[in-house]
Amino acid sequence: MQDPRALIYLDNGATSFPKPPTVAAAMSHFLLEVGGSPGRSGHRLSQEAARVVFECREALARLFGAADSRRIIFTLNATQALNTAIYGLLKPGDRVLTTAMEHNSTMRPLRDLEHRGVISLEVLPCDRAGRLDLGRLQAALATRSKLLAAVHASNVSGAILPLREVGAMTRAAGTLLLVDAAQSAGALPIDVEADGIDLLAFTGHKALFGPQGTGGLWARTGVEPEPLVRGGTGSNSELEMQPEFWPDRLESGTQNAVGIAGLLAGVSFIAETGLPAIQTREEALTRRLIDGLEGVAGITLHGPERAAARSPIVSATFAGLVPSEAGFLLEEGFGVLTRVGLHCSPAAHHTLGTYPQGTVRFAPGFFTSDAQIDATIAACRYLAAKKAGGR
Amino acid sequence: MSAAAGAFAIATFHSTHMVLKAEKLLKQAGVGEVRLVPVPSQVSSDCGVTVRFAAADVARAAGLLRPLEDLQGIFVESGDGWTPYA
Repeated sequence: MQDPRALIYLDNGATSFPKPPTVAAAMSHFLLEVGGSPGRSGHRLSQEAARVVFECREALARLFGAADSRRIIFTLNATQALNTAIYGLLKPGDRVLTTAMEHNSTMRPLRDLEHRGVISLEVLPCDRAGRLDLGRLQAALATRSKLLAAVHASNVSGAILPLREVGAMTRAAGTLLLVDAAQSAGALPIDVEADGIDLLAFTGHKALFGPQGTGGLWARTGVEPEPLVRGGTGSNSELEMQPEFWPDRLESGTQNAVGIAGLLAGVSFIAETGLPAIQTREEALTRRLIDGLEGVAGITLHGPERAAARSPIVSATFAGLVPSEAGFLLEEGFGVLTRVGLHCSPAAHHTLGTYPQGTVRFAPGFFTSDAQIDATIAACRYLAAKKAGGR
Repeated sequence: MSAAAGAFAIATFHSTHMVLKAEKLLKQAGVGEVRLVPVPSQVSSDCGVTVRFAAADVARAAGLLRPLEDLQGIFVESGDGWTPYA
């Protein structure tokens, strides 16, 4: 395989790469020196593993402004967290709101419950950039609704949900707010208290810099999803019923402690670097990319305008080149790695008007260099010009 | 490891998470001889760990730990068993 350092990795929306070197070091240390099962046995290696899990929970609580870290449970990914929230909370007859920008990790569980006649679902429209129509949200909240499930930062357009405004609206309406922070956790400021969030689903392997197989769900005290999985927790072992207390209630089976060790290193990197510094850097890279692609004949950008708030995602289409072909040529000719197609978000592409072929998605990350962005711009311009001039 | 009777006290919690929280709290407060040990079988049939500390500091530790919601109990070593700390 080609040396990954020679490639231009612009697929951080799928998973961040590279990770801070401390992430691999922490995982290696765990496997070589710690190795115990967290919260199971009393011996020192088990205790050390449990400490890693505990410290990661505490670090995440600090990052999200959560007062009680017990309310954070670890999952495999954001999908499992969203499924836990959706299937664990919703009951027959519930009315649920969501947006026309959701990823299938939210949309499929909701459509499943709707299809089976458990819930009624209203999908709220968004504009062509992927921004939720707050007027329509306000109108929908006038009818009693159990839950609004909304994506914080779109994985397709980079549009950002005005969390605090939306949280104030759902709180006033007595509707629970479930936020899909798969793209935003670690990249954008999130404060579960100030933002009025009731449930926050996040993944570890994107902007939190952890490894794949890590993620979690935070839920406000009093919001108590039923567990999807029950089993051993290392606690209350004399009882054959699942414990009610957190985090054990929702964490059955041996946890991914080696992954969580890596996630702790990733979250620590964010704390040391400062989230604002990461956000500023990623915004600069995104703006640089937009500046280089905007107005180029044969290239169309989809999503919020240049100056608007957005997460580090730029979606583009090329005239006369389907996204899959454009992505292939960018990799083959220039070593630029993107993600093409529908990005598991058909609803979002309907909203943007890019369904069914989708877009080429460029997702720079904190470790992307200006030179890599400039090389990507040159590659895109070359492809667009070549297509315009015939092959 | 072996100590004279009455040398230690323990605090038990439902979850490992709270045991670790308590360990941190006690260490930060300078309570003596804080370490995690398996839950004594006389106290609970649980398979988890508990936080042990110097019995001399039990009053201060109780003040720190009682506000924590998930506290099950505080016990002081007595002979070959553990007596609830009132």
